[in-house]
Order: sequence, then structure tokens, then C-alpha cells
Amino acid sequence: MSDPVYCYPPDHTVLKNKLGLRDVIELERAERRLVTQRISEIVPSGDFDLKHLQKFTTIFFKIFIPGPVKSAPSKSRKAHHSSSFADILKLVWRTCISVLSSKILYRGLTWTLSRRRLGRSWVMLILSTVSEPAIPFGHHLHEIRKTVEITTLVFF
Amino acid sequence: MSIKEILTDKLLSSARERRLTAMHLQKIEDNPLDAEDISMFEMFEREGWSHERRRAYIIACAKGETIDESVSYVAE
Repeated sequence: MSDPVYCYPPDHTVLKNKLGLRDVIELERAERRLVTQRISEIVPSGDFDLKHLQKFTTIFFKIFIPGPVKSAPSKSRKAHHSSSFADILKLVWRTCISVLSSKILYRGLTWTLSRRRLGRSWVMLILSTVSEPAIPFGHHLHEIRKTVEITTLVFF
Repeated sequence: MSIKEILTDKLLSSARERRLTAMHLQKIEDNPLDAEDISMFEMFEREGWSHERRRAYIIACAKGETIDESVSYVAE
């Protein structure tokens, strides 16, 4: 992966992150450790279906999100408005569903299997977004969109 | 919970179960925990570290900062 906006120069292969890590191995180590730690703190048991995802997303709201977050500057008129984290999550979920639907048709996968896989990726996506210190992105709307794009490219 | 507080056996047990789930998820996501990572989490559980202290430790390691091990947080 190479992205001039979301990755560090000069080769643009390591995602920008709040820890300032420029080495992909170090970033991956920090990410898996912090995400594992966060899961061991708060994620309730379940089967990664929608009900389960809603349950722990609610927990995340209570723990991590003190109030509405402001979207990042963008040329889009809509993006200039402040968005609640709930709105952003809905956007992320809709995007994932949309991409997943097309991939299901393309690959001939069953909905049950794909939904389970999507659920797991959804867990990782949300944890990566809200985990302290928020690896690799902050709470900006267009950055989360980018995260979704990357996630779907990698996993679907 | 303060950073110096320790987890009870019941909390540790449930946290460990969730950690094993997390390890499974990380494997699915193609970023599995290595032996050093697992050893670190087992040390957290063995010594009953609070979640706050664990996070602080992980972040300090990632930043390459010096970690103060002089204060004992282990249950008496």
C-alpha cells in the first residue's frame, strides 16, 4: 500500500499514527498489543453478529467518546458540519455493507460467512479508531472513510 | 481505577478470556501476537496489573521510553 496523504514520506507506506512510529513492524506490534489490551478490557462476549456489535459499540461510546467530534476540512459542504461519532459509525457500517454486498455477488460467498468476517473486521476497525492512542487515525470523518476503504481492500 | 490498583482474580479471569479472543481476532487480521507479546500479557495477568498500567506500559514500549519498574503493583 502506498498513499501520499495517509502515509509518512518519503515512501508513503507506513500509515500516519499518533505514536509517530515510522517503521511498519513497530506500528503493527503497537497496534496488535493495544487492540488486544482494549479487547481484554471491555469487549463483551458474543458471536460478532449485529446485536453483538451494537452492544460493544455502545460500550465504546460510554468509555471513549465524551461528545460530538468535528469532521475534517473537506470540499464537501456536508463534511463541514460537525458529526456525532454515532453518525460516523453509521456511515462506516453502511459503506462496509455496500462494499461487502458487491463482493458477495462477485465471489459467490454466502451472506452468513461474509457477515461474520465483516463483523470481525468491524471490530478491528472500530478498535483501531478509538483505541488509545487511536491507531492509526483520529476521529475525522474523511480519515475514517479512508480506513474503511483500506479495510475493505485488504479483507474483501 | 488508579494506575496502581490491581485487578481481582475474577476480573483477571474474564480479562484473560477476552485476551484469548483478541488473540484469535488478531490472527484472523493477519497480525498475530508473537511469543514476546504473549509473554507480556501473561506477565500482566500474573502480576495483576491494572488496565491503565498495561496501556501505559505498552505505549511506553512503543515509544522506546524508559519504563519505571521500581514500584511494585503486585497484590500482597
